[in-house]
Amino acid sequence: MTNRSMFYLASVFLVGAMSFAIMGATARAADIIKIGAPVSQSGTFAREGQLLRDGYELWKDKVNAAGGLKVAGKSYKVEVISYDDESNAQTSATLTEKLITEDKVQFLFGPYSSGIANATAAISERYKVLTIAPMATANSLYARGYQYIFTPSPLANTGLFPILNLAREINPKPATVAIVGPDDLFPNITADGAREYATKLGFKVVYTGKYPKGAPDLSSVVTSLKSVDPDIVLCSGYSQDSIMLVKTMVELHVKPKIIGLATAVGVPDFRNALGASADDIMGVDYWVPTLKYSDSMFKNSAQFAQEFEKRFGMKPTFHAASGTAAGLVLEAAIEEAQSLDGTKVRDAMLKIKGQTFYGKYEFTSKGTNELATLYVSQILKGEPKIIFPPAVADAKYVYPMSAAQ
Amino acid sequence: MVGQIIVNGLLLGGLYGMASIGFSMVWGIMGIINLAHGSFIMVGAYVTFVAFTYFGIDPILSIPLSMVVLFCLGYSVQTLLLNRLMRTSLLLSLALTFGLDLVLINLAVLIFSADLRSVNTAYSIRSLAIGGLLIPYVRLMAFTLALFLAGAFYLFFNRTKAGQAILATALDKEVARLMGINPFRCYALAAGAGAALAGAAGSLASMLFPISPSMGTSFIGSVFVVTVLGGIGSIEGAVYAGLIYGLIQAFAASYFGVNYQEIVAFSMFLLILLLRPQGLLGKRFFGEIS
Repeated sequence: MTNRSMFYLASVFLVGAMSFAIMGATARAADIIKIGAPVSQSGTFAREGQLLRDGYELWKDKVNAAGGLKVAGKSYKVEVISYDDESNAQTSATLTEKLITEDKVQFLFGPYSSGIANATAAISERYKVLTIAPMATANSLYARGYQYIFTPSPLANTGLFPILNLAREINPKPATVAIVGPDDLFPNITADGAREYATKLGFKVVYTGKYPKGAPDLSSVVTSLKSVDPDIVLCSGYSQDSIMLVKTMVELHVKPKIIGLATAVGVPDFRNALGASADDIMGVDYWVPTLKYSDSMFKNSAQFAQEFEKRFGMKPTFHAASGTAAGLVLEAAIEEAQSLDGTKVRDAMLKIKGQTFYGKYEFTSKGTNELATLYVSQILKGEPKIIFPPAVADAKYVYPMSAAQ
Repeated sequence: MVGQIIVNGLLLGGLYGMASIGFSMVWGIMGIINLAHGSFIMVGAYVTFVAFTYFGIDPILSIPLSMVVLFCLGYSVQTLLLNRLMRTSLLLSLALTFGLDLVLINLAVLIFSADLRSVNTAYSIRSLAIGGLLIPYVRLMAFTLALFLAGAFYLFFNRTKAGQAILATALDKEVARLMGINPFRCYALAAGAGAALAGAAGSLASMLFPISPSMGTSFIGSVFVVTVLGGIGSIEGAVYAGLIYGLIQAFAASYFGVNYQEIVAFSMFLLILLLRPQGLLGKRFFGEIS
């Protein structure tokens, strides 16, 4: 036998063996639903990314423990394949492509942050793989005409709306609003949204200020605030600059009736850093453990929080809650479609309407959730309490805030 | 309003000046641009945080402690690492201090996590009111101490034997060696002193700003501008430049918007490089007799 014919024989054998292996793999994979999740486990978003992934994991475990998902009379187990995108958009895009083409996932859970989702959405759209992205909420992402990405969470521009909604109901209504925040993609969307909405509600926006991200000092911003003396000061920033803003406002005796932050005030960082100055400050939450919404898996958010803590040994944050909610929404859409075909499930996303422990949902064709709401907490004597909307409030708000001195 | 802007600018400027002295000295004396200087400031802030939170030591009283810790850090980094590089290229020392910066930041993340910390004393949010002007006590204290420590270091360099030896080494290493001065010990001493000042700046900053492992990064840009503006290696130059820089930032922020404060400050930096490259009080050679 010549070398050449040896080669042919070997190739035929190899190809045969490979197709056999692939057939075997597909046969086994048939009763598993694979979901890909490129989520940051290291880098800037390590903490948020891990919480988000844990949220996805909790949903998966609960679904499998209950016997899996039933589609057209057949039970499927769920597998979540997650990779670390190192908080890097480019890496996340590459991993998304790998998940789709090599791991053959049928659906995707989104990465943490809009910036990264921007990169992955282009890929998932090309392969028509439905993505639920609970932590990608930049408006621009849902204004591109993408058909396969959905978020159950409120969009970035609404970040300060609930505080304005609350202020609108106060009598006498506060008149003037100042909006400040770091000059960065997400805070800018929130600040611009708040400015438009405040004007629409009849408030007078007397000052808007942007400072560089990571600005070491904010006394000049606060001096400008002092000269306009607004009733409401809104800040679209992150924890670090919000803390500095409040601290400097106390130092320079700027005393508005409401200080409203786009960030959660319940986090220990915030209260520890400000001590008594944190009292009566309002912040916006995506999710709080006292919500009473229920679904097939959890009778309320308290149960979710309890099970999450039992499973992962720490209290959940909104990142984690949104991850589990993403699973629940996907589950609802798959059940509605009674199919695992990406396009059919995508069409079902537009039909489903209901609630999870995380909140109500009804999706628009842009991929946004019409019924998504935010909650306002206020720090009352050192403890964060939900004060708005009234349906879920567990304390009466304090207005005007007693200036901590 | 103008009064308040001036107060804000000067108070912050004092801190900038102090944060820059060590950086400027090390650059002037050894020709090393210490990119880890920001992290030295961060370490100083954490020393104060630990002393305050776990041992109840007042932040002001913890300043000597963080100066000692940082002196040891600066001294050992110089003897163990940088002295070996003194005869090689500038690029190598940049690479080394950049790496050191990353190591320090990540060590801080490892030990303290990335959570924001802060030091809250009873007086930390109080202000002194003088005729409509508000002067926060902590900032005033930071400003006064910054000037005091700058003065002390000025005296150290100009009135003590060790200081003179360091200056002599900076001026001419070979001649200094002929006079019986050990240049490498001088370098280590200067690096330690520079780091000690960074530590003191960190302790003061811990009372004003949230403490995080990356807090030094927001300082290093300003420190650079202040150093060049004041003249590389000049202590009094760094103090004046810090005050001017603080004032310019405060006015730029108030009249053009906060977003422009960096643009204005860095335009000024470029202008200085064009018009007076040796800085306000800098000489062509550090230690040159005027």
